[in-house]
Amino acid sequence: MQPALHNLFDQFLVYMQSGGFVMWPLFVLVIVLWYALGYRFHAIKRGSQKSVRVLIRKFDSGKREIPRGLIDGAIVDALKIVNEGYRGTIGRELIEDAFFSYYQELKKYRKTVNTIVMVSPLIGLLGTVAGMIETFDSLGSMTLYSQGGGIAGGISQALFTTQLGLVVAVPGLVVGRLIDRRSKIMELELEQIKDIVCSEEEGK
Amino acid sequence: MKRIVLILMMAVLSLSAATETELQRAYAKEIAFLKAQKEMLQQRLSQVKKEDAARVSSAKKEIASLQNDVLVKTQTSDRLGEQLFRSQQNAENISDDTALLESVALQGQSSLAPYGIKLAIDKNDYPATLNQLFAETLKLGRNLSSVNVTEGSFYLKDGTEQKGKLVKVGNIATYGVAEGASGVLVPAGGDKLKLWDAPASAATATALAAGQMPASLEIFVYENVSKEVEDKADKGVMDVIESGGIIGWVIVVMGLFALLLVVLRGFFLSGAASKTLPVAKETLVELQSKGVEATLNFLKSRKGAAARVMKATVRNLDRDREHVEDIVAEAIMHESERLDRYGSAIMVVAAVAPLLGLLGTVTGMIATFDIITEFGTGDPKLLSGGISIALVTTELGLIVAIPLLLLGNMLNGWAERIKDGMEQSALHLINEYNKQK
Repeated sequence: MQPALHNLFDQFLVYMQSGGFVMWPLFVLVIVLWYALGYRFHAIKRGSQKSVRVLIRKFDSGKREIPRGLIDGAIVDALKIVNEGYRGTIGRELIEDAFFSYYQELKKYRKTVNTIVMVSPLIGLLGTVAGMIETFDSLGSMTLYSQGGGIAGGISQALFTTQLGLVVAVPGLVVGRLIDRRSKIMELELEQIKDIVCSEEEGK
Repeated sequence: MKRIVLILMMAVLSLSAATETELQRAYAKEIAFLKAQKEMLQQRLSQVKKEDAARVSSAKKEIASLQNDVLVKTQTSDRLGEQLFRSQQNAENISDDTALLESVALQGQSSLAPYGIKLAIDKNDYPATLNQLFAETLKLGRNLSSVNVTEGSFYLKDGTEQKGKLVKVGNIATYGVAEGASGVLVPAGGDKLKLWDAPASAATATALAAGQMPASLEIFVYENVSKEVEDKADKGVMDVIESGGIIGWVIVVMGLFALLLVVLRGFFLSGAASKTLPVAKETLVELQSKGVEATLNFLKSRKGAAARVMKATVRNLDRDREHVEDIVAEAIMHESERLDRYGSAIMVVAAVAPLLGLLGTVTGMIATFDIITEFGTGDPKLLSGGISIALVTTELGLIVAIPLLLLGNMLNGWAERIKDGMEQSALHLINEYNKQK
């Protein structure tokens, strides 16, 4: 197991080196990207899969007390404000105030993910261009098969960076879009909570 | 008259009848003669036929033999043609080989010339020339790969010439040993040598001169006596930009300008961001403890975007809700002018830089094709120049665009968060005030 791991690490290092100088920035971007995606995935956890209306009734009747996710927390906050006696327009404003951090949480790292997805193929392209320059330089100086460079080195650099750029971008794009959709739905649900809580209380 | 003629004819007829037997005999004689004639003619005919057949067969034989002859001769001519072709080829090969040998000999001559060895090229006896070349080269190789001690002179550090022994280590380094000073020598130009500033090498030099090989060799390696070893110049950043041409410079200048804007914007935003929350909290505390007037006075003493938004909010706290929200939104819009400053410029540069890179690429390719039309595709060096210029501009464009995209988006997100924070603080303030009321 240990030598196998060691071997894998060596292979990884060789891969990184054959791609040239853009590989490490790309690698850092991958880590940031997946940290951001993980954070977003964690943030869009919904306490329970039941509909907002059912959840509000449950929390209101005291059947559930500990919030388990973002929507649960928002419902608890909203009910607290309503139960303090603020209702109508003022209550609505107060709830909006209280929900600010939830909106912020849903939006957090959205731009980061999109930026990295946009930039990483460009970095791959940069590596490709650098590799092609090396190739043509070695054509010019006639050092076609020199160590650590030459035509083959340049071309492998060109290909590896494009590959890594795409490997970074495509899963990031897909997962990022999925999370975006979930977070949009949850924003709508927060609006729904506001509507339901205020209108029910006004109706009483 | 007619009667007379008829009578005459009758008389003739009667006469002939009288001589019938004589006539018959004459006829028989005649027939016998004719038969003999006929036989003779038939004999002659068969003889002629025989002769003809004999002549035809002999002619046929002759034709066959002639055809045979022709065949043999064609074959011979083919063979001769082939031989001719082969010998022509041989002649060509030989002349090629001769040219090759001559060029080898010339090459050898010019390679050996720097070492003072003259090679006589005998055009009629290339093997001898080649033998001589190999012998000389081998001798030179042995000579160059060994340590030689010769008498000579070298220059000291103060410029005086010193006579002494020169210890040549192959063709790559020389040590000088003299009474006054000894040590490793470096090329001083014009085939002259001078002492290098390495006192530790004196022991090495004397040991080598005495024929010993010291354990560690203090050495200064040169290419030849008049030239130091030149490291292949690494391409600096400036060289790379230079090879991108005018467009390369435009991209770099734009990138530096945008980087300056990024720094300035980051400076603004960090100022605004660090103030927003504390100001909002203090304002809330002031408002709850001292009232509207005192809060306004407190805010007047503060500076910055957050303080101005708070001031606008506090001044209009007593108006109806929608109105206050409009005022808050307007105040933030007013401040966003400052918060968004340079944001679009940075993104424009980030968008334009790759396009400029593409422009450079196209320009470089045009130059390459111009070279191809002028010189053809024979020399890859000529082509690779233009192509690498084309790629350098793309590279520069991407190098400028990628960080600007990252930083620009980060700054935009930051500005967005600051504005959200201001709005939220202002609304929070209104809510708290209304709650108190």
